[in-house]
Amino acid sequence: MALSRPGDDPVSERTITAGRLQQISDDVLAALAWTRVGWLAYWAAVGLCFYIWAIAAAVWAYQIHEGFTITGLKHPVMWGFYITAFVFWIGIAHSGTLVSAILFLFRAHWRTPIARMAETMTIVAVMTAALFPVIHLGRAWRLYWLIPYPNQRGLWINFSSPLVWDAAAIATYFIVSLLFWFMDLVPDFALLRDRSHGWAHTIYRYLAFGWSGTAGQWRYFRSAYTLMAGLITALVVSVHSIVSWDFAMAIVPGWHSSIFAPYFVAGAILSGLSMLLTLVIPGRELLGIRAYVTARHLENIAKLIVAVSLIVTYAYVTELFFAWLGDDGYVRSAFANRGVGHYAPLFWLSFVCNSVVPLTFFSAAVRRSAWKLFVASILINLGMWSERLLIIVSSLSREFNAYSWGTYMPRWPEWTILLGSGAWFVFWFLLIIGHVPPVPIADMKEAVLEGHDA
Amino acid sequence: MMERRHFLKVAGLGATAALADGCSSKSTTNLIPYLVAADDVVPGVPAYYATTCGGCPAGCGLIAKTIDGRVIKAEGNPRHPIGAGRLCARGQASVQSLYDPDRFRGPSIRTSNAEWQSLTWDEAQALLAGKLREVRERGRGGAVAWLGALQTGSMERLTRDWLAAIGSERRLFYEPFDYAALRRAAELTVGRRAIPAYDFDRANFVLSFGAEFLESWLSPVEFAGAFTRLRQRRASDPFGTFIAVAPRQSMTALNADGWVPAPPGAEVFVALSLVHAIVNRDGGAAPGSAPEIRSLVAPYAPEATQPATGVLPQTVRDIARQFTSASPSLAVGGSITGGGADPVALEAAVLLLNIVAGNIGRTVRFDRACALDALATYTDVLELTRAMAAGQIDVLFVHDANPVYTLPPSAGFGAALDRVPFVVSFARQPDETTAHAHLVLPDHHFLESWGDYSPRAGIEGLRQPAMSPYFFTQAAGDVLLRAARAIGAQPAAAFAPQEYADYVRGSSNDEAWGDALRNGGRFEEKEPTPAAETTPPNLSSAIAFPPIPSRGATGDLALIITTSPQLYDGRDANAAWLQELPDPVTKTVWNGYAEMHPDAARALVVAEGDAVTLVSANGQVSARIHVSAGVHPDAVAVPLGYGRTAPLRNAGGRGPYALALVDGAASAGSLPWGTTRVKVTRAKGGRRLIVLQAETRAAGEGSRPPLDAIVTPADVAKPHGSDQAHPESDLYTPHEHPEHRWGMAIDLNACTGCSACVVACYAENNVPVVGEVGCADGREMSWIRIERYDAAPRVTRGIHRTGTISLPMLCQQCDEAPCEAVCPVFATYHNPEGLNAQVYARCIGTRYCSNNCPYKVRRFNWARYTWPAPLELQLNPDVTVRSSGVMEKCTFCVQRIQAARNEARRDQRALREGDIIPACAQTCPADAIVFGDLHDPSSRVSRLARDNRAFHVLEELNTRPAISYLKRVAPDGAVAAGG
Repeated sequence: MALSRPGDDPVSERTITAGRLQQISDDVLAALAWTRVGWLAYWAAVGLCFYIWAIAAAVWAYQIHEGFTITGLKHPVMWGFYITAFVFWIGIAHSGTLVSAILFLFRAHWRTPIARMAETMTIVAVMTAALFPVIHLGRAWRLYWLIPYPNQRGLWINFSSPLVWDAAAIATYFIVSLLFWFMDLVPDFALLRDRSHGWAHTIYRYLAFGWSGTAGQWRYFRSAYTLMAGLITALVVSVHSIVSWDFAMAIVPGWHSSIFAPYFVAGAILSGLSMLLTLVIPGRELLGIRAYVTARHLENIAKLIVAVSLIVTYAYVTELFFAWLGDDGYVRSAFANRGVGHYAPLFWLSFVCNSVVPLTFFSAAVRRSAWKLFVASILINLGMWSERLLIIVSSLSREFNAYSWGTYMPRWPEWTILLGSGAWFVFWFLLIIGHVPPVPIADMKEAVLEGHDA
Repeated sequence: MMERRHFLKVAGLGATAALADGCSSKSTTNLIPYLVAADDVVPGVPAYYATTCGGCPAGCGLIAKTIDGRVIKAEGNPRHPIGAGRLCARGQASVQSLYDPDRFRGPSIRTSNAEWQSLTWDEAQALLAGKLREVRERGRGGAVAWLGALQTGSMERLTRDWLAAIGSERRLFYEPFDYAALRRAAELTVGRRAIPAYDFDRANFVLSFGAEFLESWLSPVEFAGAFTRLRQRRASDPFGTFIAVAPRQSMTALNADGWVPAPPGAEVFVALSLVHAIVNRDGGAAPGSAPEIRSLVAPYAPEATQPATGVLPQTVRDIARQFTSASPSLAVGGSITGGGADPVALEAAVLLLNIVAGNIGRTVRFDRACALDALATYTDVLELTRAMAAGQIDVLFVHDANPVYTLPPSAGFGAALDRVPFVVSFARQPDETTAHAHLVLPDHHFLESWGDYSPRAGIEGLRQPAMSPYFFTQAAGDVLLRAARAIGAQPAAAFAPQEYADYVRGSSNDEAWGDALRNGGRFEEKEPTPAAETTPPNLSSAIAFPPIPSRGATGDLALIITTSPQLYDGRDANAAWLQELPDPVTKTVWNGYAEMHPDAARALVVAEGDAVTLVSANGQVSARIHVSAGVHPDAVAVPLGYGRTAPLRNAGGRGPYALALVDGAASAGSLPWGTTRVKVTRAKGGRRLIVLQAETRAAGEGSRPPLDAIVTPADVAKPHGSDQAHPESDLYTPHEHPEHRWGMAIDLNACTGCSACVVACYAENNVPVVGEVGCADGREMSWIRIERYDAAPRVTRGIHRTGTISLPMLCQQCDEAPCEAVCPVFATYHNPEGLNAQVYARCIGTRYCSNNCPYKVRRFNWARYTWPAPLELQLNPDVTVRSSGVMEKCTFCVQRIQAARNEARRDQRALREGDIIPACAQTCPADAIVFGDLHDPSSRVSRLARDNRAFHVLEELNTRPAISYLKRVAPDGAVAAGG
């Protein structure tokens, strides 16, 4: 499926020579060699992000001191921005594994150049998501009580609570994603080790785990990679299913629905892919890897987005249809309230962004224009955020007990911490992507050698 | 290396030092342990003292629970005939007014530059004695006046003797609600200037012309109990048991089976038409249909009054027929805040109605003298005001009254007070009257005082201090006794007792006195003898009824001043529990309201929550609009108790001061509450209106208030068969409750919505107050709340069949609790006795349980809530004070369950029915809440749970609550079925 447009895409020229392989190493590693201005800009950006999330951390400390009274959370909307942010970021984390593992298993070789960025995004997004269940805890300093550790007091955790499943799922996902990401990096670290000296050499030497590129190492590497890819594929489905059960297992009208697991997985992939576009489009410019991450890659992501968006739209329609079809007045009212109630703007925003905007990708002019894709990806991110907020807040705001209906409006701590979480995400992403090869060098070489269309 | 023994010694020493340090307070310099502890003080073990509530003139019996010498809870005294063990919301909140941080710390005097200066009691006492001596020497003893709350017994005798010794007879027992119209009407109709005793227990049908007998009128706690019994006795009455005729639905009227929304001031014509209908039926065979009555009511045929009242003649005749056939019936009349332009006429018409229906001597009895008969009338107060303004009063004593606030400003009392050279106030805390006083001699709170109060003949309630006074206060009685001795008042024998306590005790011997104190008084009320039942009508020739007005639109609205069970006249408005208690009718907190009919609001283009200005000929106030169909379109209702200007942290500067609108100068025997007309204009700003209940009506699908909880009498006999639980679909094995399963039954047919249970719960369970901002943010912490649900009103035969239910909502202690499954750390779990226990120390605050609770009864600690000193002394030591970030909720007062269990174990017996009574059930004036063991098939709660009317809220969710509600019974056709 080559989009052969000579001149635009030098990799597709298929001139397999040793020089070509050398060039891949040089090109990618060039992304790690900064110009003076680039270096300053990079660290300024990292510093700015640190500054912002440090402020957010201070706000969190203030929230712990003052209690949740400073937030907009209230009876009956006990979950607001924080849990929305959790679901949002954990959703972002899903496309990384999708790109690297599922597409790998499906032998969609075009995924190779973007896999590193996608996986890095995954890890950083899980790190961001994992903050929110803690930030949202009434007594965050008792976090360790969620861990089933043997203790004299005979206290144990409640395995019937979806929150426990959640904690386990996220921890598993983080560990496996990290391993998967790291394993793929080992040959690249070896390259960096060989090309660096001084303290950087020492660090890369440890990280390279003695990789020497022997055939035996490659054989183990390939089989381990495939096994990990299989394992993590299961996790892609399971983790967000479990996240969705935080809601679906509750009896809240608007949450309690068996469609939630596939619905949330599809939504997660949609948001993850669009976030990937958001990161890759400026990233490939800044890192100077346009030669590797080409318009074709962006276009393929856009095509995936269309497919997933249609699934999400189908889920929307199904949800509404069964709410109407079912004779449960509470559920029917919860969904009617989404469309016309207090939170209707969120509903229509998410519908337009998640179901309508991706349809424009049917037009080649849109999906081949990097800046149009960039704008669209921002809109889809916004739409997915609104969708999660809508599901969480509008359902809680009008439950069974009409005395206790109420609406939620976030206040400055939630906004600050949300912004801080974005800064935290960018901070780690920048820090990592500035120090590892942004395109998997070994995989690219393999693709070139095996004649894959990467 | 330190030896263990040595370490313990040092540690013990350190601990002692820390303890001694921690206990020091500014007022105590030496800590001396009880060498021999008082018999009744065992650390951690409660002691109970029977006393009499001083919250209003009803005088309910009260038992103060004290632990370690501090009162922590007020409960009703079951041996006391008034209240019979129950208290209202304000009675429950009396412990908060006891520890009110704004109370005066000690006596103080206003200096020449209008600043307050503290005094010692010796100085204050000397000052007072000096003043009295001076007055006597100048021969101006007659210029001494006493304006104080109603007193009977000791204080009545002491003040009379004391004033007599000085040479004055000016003593006014002043209460804002003087029932002067009722007394005058009784004089005109039966020849007795007295407030009758109303026997709701014997009545079969009640007709109220605005009397708020369940919230503020005469003796609401007593009446609530009797009204419940009436309703249960007449559960199958197809007409209903209670019809309310009033321009506004008060909480009492919300409990009526039918509401006749008479225009403001037209209640009297409805009453007269009813009399007319009765005496002209069957050739006038009714017992009291003397010719003079017939001629009196002749102009008020139902057809003649219809234009003024809007009530169909057929409706009048229907009610009249019911009123006479359900003999004895009972008509009660006139709102506590007046009753139209001519309250005497209304009360007289109501008494006539009782006369012609033969109720006098049966449900309306004049054989038990009511303490309120001694109240000064508004005319008396105005007379005193004029005397003050004319400089005829040299010294005024104000005792337990706040006339500057409770009289309309236009009465000129405040200005007249400034003409009095020396004003002595016994107020406990700053109020609008102390702002004009010269000397403040703060009295004890009634929970710290000796005293007695007899609400009516045969009931002598006693007061005893349940704890030693917290502030440097003195009993007013002691102040008077000391002053009398200081000035050598005669006869000396009258002031002989050294202490007021001895004065109250009199010559009782130890045994009799001990018994009386233990019982809370001496109760020798006799059942009426048949002879006492006949009080013949004795119509005065002075009786006159107003002509029927022609209805003409004036453009203005009639002002209705309302009283609520939480604020009454505003005297306890500084108790935060009462401010945070939703008004039973409007569900508003921390602010008053201007209640308007939707039509009136539309005409003025104002909506719910809008700021308006109400302007009358006498003044203007700002308020927020509350739109409600429960008020006549020609009226606007403003509550009493707001607009306090005194420096009180909770009450001050809050809400509209309704009395500013009233014309206080006109004297017609009582304050002309009901003659004011106001113009309502839009305005800007002001304190917002906070309504805690989001939705009261069935607003489409999904809201589904449990309005099918109203059944017709015919349904009562049938099993309702609406159990929608489906146990077969359970995933887990059901819980086992080997010994007990605690449960509750709440009778919606009894619950009046008075909300006493809510305050009782605050007091018992250390529920924090979140304040105005917290409530506006939706963060109130109440564990039990009264939800009000209205069915669409249906008008049958001109009577609005309103179908309102008040539904106490608290944790349902579900057997299959949605909250339990989702807690990751087992902070909430199902205990072996069926409770959803909540382990505060284990909670980490995920708030998932609250999301998953369909009843929304879990409360989250949004902040570290505090109790301003010394309010923290009220905290119940048996209940944890929860920290920020944890979830809390009702556990059926598990501390009481535990205490009862311990007691039973100590006595080596099993728990018995009645051993455990949660705070809400204990105080419920209507006896609507019953607690017990669902495992015991003979327990009251089990029997009620099997009742045909029993249902579970949201039972289709399969939560299987431990609380059964009993449906409200309403007459046929009262409400649309379902939501």
